[in-house]
Amino acid sequence: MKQYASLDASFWINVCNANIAAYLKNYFQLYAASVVAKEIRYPLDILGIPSSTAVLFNQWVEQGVITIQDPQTPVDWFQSGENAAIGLAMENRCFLLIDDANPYHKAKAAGIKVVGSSEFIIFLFDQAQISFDQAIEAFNQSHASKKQKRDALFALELLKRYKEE
Amino acid sequence: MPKSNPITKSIRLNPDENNFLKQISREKGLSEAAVLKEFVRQGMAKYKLERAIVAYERGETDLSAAAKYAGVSIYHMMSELQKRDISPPAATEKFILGLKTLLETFGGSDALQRTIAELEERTT
Repeated sequence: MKQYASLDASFWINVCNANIAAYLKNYFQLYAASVVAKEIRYPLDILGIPSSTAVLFNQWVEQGVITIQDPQTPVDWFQSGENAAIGLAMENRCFLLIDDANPYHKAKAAGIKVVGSSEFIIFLFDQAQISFDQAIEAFNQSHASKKQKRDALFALELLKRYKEE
Repeated sequence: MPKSNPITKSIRLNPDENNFLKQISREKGLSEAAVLKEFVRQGMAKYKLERAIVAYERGETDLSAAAKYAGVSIYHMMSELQKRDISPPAATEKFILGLKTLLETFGGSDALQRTIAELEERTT
């Protein structure tokens, strides 16, 4: 059954770069706050660059795959930004799809289910939606740090080994 | 919003710096004052970016707020963090919990359960 999820810009940018955005539709009904949409559309709206990340986002909004919705009361944990995505997840009691680990503790304490793009890649491999090589390529295309990529690749190797046993 | 009046600042340069400034001014076809102004703006932008990155690394700010402070897009900030190989605190914990959440919500193989168990064991 599909789960409702509030989308953050960091997650969207990474899943688009990793070429796995299409799989989100299988698992999530996506929502994005307007401030998040503005961040994602930045290359297109401000720079005039038709970046695939922004173009795909607009297509999905037009197709109704992503719904733009603002929280009634955004949280004020940091200064701005992710607060709208977190506020939306809290109000809708839904998943928060975010790659930024800094707001994570507070989101977790508020009972929000938080998922990042690295976890989603591993999960897709486990579900046999993508191959091992596709998963590696997806990690290579992500904006994660070397340490984050190392952790994720270690998990992927481990999972592959256990699957083959 | 009323437009504020520009404020004049004067600086002292040593002869080498002065000659270099003249050279840049000729190369760029700009006045020395315009070159200095450009350099000050670039320096301030760089300083803001550095401060934003340090704050992010310490967990004091989120990605969007850091980008906003530095006056860059979220794309630019993500790429700067990647270039400098900066992971926010709690990245590993978030990764493991995210995997568990996906497993509990959508199901998964025994292999995934074993993988998560081993990752948890390694972090404790």
